[in-house]
Amino acid sequence: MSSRSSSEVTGLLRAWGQGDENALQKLIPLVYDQLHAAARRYMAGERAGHTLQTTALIHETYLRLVDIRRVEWQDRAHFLAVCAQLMRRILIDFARSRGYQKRGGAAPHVNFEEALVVTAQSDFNLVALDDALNRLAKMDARKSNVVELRFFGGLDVKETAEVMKVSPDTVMRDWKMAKVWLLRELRRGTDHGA
Amino acid sequence: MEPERWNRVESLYHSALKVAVNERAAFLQDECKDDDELRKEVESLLSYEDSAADFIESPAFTVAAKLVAEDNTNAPAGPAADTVVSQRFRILEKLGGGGMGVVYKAEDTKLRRLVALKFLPTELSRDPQALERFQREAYAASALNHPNICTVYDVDEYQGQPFIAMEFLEGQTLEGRVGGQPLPTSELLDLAIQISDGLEAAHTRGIVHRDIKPSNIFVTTRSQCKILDFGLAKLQEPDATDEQRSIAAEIVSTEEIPSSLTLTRTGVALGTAGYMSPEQIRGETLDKRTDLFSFGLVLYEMAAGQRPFTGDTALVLADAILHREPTPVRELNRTIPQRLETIISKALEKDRDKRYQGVEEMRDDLELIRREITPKKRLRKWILAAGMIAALAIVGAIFWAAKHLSPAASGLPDVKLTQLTANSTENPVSSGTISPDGKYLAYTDHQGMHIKLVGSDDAQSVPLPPGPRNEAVVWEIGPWFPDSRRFVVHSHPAPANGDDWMSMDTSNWIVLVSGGGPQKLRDSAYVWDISRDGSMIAFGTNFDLTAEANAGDETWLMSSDGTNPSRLFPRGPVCCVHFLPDRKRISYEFDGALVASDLQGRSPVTLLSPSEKKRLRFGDVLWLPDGRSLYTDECKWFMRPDAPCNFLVERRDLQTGKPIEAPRRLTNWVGSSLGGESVTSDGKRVAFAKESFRSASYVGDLAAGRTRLSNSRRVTFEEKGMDAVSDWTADSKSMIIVHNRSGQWRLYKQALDGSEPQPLRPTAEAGGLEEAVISPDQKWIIVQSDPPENNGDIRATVRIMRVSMAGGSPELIFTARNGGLISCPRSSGKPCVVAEESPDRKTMIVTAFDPVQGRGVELGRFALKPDANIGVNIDHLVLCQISPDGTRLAIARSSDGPVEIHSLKGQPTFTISATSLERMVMLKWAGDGMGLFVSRRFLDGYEIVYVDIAGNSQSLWRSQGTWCVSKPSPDGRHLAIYEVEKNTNMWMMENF
Repeated sequence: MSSRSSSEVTGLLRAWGQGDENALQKLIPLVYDQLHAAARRYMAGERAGHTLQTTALIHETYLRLVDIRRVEWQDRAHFLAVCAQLMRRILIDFARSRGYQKRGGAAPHVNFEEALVVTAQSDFNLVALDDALNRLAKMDARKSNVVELRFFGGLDVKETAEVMKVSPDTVMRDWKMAKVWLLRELRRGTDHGA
Repeated sequence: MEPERWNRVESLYHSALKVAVNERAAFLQDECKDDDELRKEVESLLSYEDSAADFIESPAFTVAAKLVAEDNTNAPAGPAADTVVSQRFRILEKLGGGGMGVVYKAEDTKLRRLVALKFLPTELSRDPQALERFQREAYAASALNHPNICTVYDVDEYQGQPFIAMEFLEGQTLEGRVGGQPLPTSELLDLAIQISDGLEAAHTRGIVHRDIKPSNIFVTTRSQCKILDFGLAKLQEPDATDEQRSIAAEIVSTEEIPSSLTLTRTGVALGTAGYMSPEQIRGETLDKRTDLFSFGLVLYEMAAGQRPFTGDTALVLADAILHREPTPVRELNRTIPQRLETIISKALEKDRDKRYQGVEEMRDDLELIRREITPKKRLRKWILAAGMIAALAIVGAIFWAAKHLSPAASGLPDVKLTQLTANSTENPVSSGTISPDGKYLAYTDHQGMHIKLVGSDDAQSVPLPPGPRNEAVVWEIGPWFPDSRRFVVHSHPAPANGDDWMSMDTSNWIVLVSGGGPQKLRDSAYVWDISRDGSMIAFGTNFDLTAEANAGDETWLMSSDGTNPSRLFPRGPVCCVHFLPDRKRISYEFDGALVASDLQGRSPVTLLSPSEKKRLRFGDVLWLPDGRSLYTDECKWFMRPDAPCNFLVERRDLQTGKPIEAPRRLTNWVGSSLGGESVTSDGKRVAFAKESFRSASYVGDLAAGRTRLSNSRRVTFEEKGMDAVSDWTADSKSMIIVHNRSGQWRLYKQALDGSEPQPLRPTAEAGGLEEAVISPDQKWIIVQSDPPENNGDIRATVRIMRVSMAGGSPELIFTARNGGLISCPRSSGKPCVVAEESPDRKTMIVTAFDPVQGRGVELGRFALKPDANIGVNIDHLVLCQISPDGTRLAIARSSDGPVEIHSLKGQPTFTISATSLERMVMLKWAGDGMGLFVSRRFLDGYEIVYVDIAGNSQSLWRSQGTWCVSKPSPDGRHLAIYEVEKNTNMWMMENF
């Protein structure tokens, strides 16, 4: 990441957003680099017993990668959506490669403070979530998009509303409904898979 | 789902969210009318509302970063398996790693024990100052030898990487144990008291932990608490990054503390966020009271299931710790006793001068609550014993045999002891008291209630009515009236599962010596004592376990005919009321103290403070007419064969509580249980119950078809001590016997012809050797060694050791968890197997092992099922045996069968079903592999049954003991049986 400027990254992102799969191949290592950097921070934070701060730092790392807040684009909305899709694709591939889908989903309970603290809770089943999100998309594409933007894209409610061109209230309602629906899907999956 | 339908679900969902929770059902019923499916769909989604609150709220990237961190941590680095470190520790496996370093499981090849090796993170080990500190602290911590502190054995380096060798523990951290949910109060108190014991040991030596937090406290599978990482906390300080320093500075600047105080290299204080004390945040000098604050935070979390202080950033968190009062614990968990909340609040005082000043004060307060909430009817302990031993009557139970030391060379008074009853093992005495004139003993046993003339064999039986609601009852003899013509008895509903009969349904009755059955006096009351003039009865209304945590029973007085009841004390922690010898006052236990007051409960005087009572281990008191008190030191029931339990007398001023005569021990018993003392009015005789254990082994000849066991004879070669038939030699001519004589464990070979037993090898292990099995090649005896600190807990880690038949010391093969049951085939070249429960206790894992090579391949995993006969097998035991030819496993997923035969050669699995496969505690293959000998447990004893592979069963042996297993000979012609018997009888003590 360090050797590449954020403009280069945005160029790659734009290219990928327009269907250039080669761009993705160049983006993956960048995201992975950032993941590892974030992980190092996480571990350093854990050793110092300073997890809360670390959590914020990790999030910052992510923002640094996509650098969205600094760039004012005409197609900002489109760009953010592309970012979210990119993250979804890379992270799910990562989780899949890690064999997480085999573990059977532990009840996904992740909250900002605890997720990084308790090892056991990292059994978050990203792959199962991805599957459930695909099912949701068939029924209600808007809700699926909201989740993609918020969870994978790391956007807040206002940004999500901006991208989707709906009101923040609608995003909030969609988000709430999608969360309970997805959580239920995951829990059910766990029950059946047990 | 159709879009319209989905929209309807969504709109209903959001509308319902706006309706109060308790009105939602009605709202939905209304809205959905007859469309049940719609209603159910919305209700189902609503039910996830709470748990979804935090769900996917942190971005996926954060989650993924955590996963990477985990991968990095787990990435192979440091010594590989089988590496021998420092010429001593053989690495077995990596257990995990975190910020503070990587931990390995290893075997200490010198001392043959498992250890954990903790390597420092590389970055820290490069800093010479950190390294020096690390070693200094580790040495300090290694001086702490306490059961509640993880023991540090050694500090050394491996390829420049420093590591600590420490006690290997199995279980989970307190963080994992709490897992966001409040702990039950009794468990909380138990763990908290252990933690305070550990802290006290450290503080006494001037060692402050500085980083007490749930992830630094380990709870073993036996619920033993171990504080981890003493001294390590200090390490972090000099290594604080600039970033951390700036945060510390920022925090501190808000407090306007001069930065010179805080920015020195050692002054930077950053404990784990959330568990820091105010003084840590301020960067002040720390003392033991800092640990008490952190301990308070841990207590809070155990009680509330959440941390008292939270914040999204360190700054907010620090502000909360410095300035905010946490939500009172009881607002988050109503079941927490008020007093516990008070303790937590005191520990969390911002000003350390207002906190507890020493952990011992805090522990005493915790213990008071524990006493308060522990049901404390004057339970005849030795009745309970039956239930307790049932709960523990597993292989381990056999070694709790009573060990009688010779009555003392140690200047004990020449006490005269007389056995009053001669009940057999099958019919233990369950309660009894002596009449004030010393003529009669009233007692109960399995056969009923009896009145016996002391000094003769004459006894009459008391006809007993059914219980209050016609159910089975347990009768218990209470106090006598002074006229020696009447006594009180209690009826308790019979326990459903051998557990204690603490209930709200105790009734009391009066029995006349002159004849007739019990006459009901009162329901729902427990009679403590009768005044010396016979006019008054002190009783408690039944303890209400369902009431508020602080509730105890009410204490009342009434006339001896049951009239004029008056309440002495409201519901509260008062128990064990006795009339004092001066006739004008009573004594009772309150808050762990022994208190005296007048008959109206006024002018209370503390006779024994809780700490004094604890120091003397003063159990329930019996007042002797001359004003002395007789008590048993609090006997630790069945915990250890060497646990003492004795009578003592002492005298103190009953007006002031001042001691006059120091406690004097009257007896010198080990491994027996005493209880239920009563005294004659002249104070010369005390009657009590005494329980002791005895083991016996038998061998019999099996008829063809194993339909009968004949010519059974006892093979035990000594009356006292313990010995157990463990296995047979391959020629079926000798049995291997595990023997404990006066505390020394030995293995003997006993020939069938009854000749003198041959000692095999002495074993150095001081614990119980449970099962000894001969290896298939006849070269080793494999023993399962239960370390004494396990206290007979079957789920604890056990050591699987080998002893060469040719001689030598026992050597560790491996450590098995959760009771690990071993069995070996007879055929040479086939592996033995060990069956263990998975940590979640849901699966039985069967692994091959070799006495020399150790653990081998996993042979199978079997999901376990709960037992139907709860109470018979209070805990599930793994049941798995390998067949004599080594080709099949007999396993049961539940103690209630059936038995599955799994082929190790790919043959189909088949199931043996028979009603005689219920209530199993042990399986043994017949020598020819055509059937199984099964030990079954019932409330009143055991049965040995032979079940062939077609499911035909034949009962061979019944035992009234507390444990009974069989050992078939390889040739199928003999069956050895090992059983443990318990007997309980009334005794009388004079001349004390």
